[in-house]
Parts: sequence; C-alpha cells; structure tokens
Amino acid sequence: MRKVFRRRSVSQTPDADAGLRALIDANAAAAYRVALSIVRDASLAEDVVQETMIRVWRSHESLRDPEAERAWVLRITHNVAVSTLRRIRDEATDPHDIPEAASLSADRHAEGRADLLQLRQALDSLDELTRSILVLRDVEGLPYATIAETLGTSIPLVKTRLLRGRRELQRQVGTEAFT
Amino acid sequence: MNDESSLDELDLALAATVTWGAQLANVLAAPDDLATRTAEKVRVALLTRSVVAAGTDLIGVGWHTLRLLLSDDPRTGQDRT
Repeated sequence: MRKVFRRRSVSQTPDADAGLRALIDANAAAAYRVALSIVRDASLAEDVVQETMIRVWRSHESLRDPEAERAWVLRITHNVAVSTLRRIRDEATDPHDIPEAASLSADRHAEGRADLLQLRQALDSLDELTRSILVLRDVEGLPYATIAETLGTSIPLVKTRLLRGRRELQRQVGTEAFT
Repeated sequence: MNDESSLDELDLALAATVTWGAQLANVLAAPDDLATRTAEKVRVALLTRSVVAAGTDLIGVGWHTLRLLLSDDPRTGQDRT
C-alpha cells in the first residue's frame, strides 16, 4: 500500500508545529527578499515564500547539514520565484500583468523615500540574474560557490555580474543619496 | 594563469566597489507580520494537501478492495510472480 499516512503534515504533534514555525521564523524574511527581487511584486513574493516553505518542510528531514539550511531555502526560493515569473509571463496577455512592467509607485517600502525609490528603480533596471546575485551576495551573504550552484552558473560569472550590478547601482543612485 | 590573474583582478575590483546590502535589505524588506501569515497559510495548505492525498489514497484502496470482492479469481490482487 502507498505511504498514505507517512506523508509529512503539520499539527501531527506540537513539536512538528513548532518546527514549522521555527523554520518560517528563521527564513521567511530572507526568502521574501530573494523572491521580491525576482518577481518584483509583493503579493507574488509572499506566494513564493509560502510555496517555498511548503516544499522545504516536506523535505526538511533530508537536510543533513542544518547550517546549510539558509542556502537550501534560498535555492528553493529562487527556483520557485523563477518558475512563478515564467508562468506569469506565459499566461499574461496584457503587458501590465507582468510584474516587471507594473508601476513602482505601489511599492509600500519606497513610498515617501526618494532614495529608496531610486534604488528600487535602479535594481529593477538590472537583469534578473544580476538582481539575484546582488541580493544573494550583498544582502544574504551567501558564498560565491553557493550562489553559482544555486543559479546554475560559474563563480567568475557571479563575480562579474556582481561587479557590474554594484557599479550600475552606484552609477544610477550614487552613494550620497544614503549618507 | 590568465584566468587566475583575471579572477584576482575581479576580486580587487569587487573589493573596491560599494556594497548595497543594507540599502537593498531596506528596499526589499518583508512585512512585519510575514512569518505569522506565512505560517498560518502553510499550515492550512499542508493540511489541505494532506487530506486530499489521503482521500485519493482511500479511494484507491476502496477501488482495489471492490475489485477483489467482485473478482472470481482468488489470486487477484496478489503478487503473481
């Protein structure tokens, strides 16, 4: 018989429930940042985080190195976000349905903050790969090798894109805006 | 050798650039209640998927049982190898 009752669920035990909550508490914000940098829509980013946590929770027991949890979660987040974006691009008939083409004025974090809005616009002007590399390296602090593995690319390319991304942000925003 | 030296140059160039970690974290900041809302949604989603999967399995078991009951062949459903 199939493993009907062996599938991992929640609320089976208080420990499982606490474990799920701990996993989400530790990783949701980072997953959201990565998701938002890719899908560029707050609501979609939350959906990505939710789906990511479901996938992570279901295969959590297979993770042998707990210290690698963050990188693992972010890798799944990246994959889910890219799939989500591709699906939306495929389904969209109106260009404004695509998050990249959506108005930035709705960004709640950038409202009233000219410097943040400027940075957000500069970030959005970068290609998807460069955005992901900037966030995974400069925000989440992942090692180059992990980023390369996550994105299916090479370490030199990661470094090249990171350099290009940082310089482009500097060119568009300047450092004085945040001083 | 060339690759190594260009990688070194790349590292030097990266070390000389401004990093945007704190500012980007600000721009991409998650809502304060994200973890709470995510936990609730994930709990419901997992429970729903679990119930649906269990229901599907039970239907499968029921169908298999019905075939056994209706079958004339006493070996039906057993491993015939």
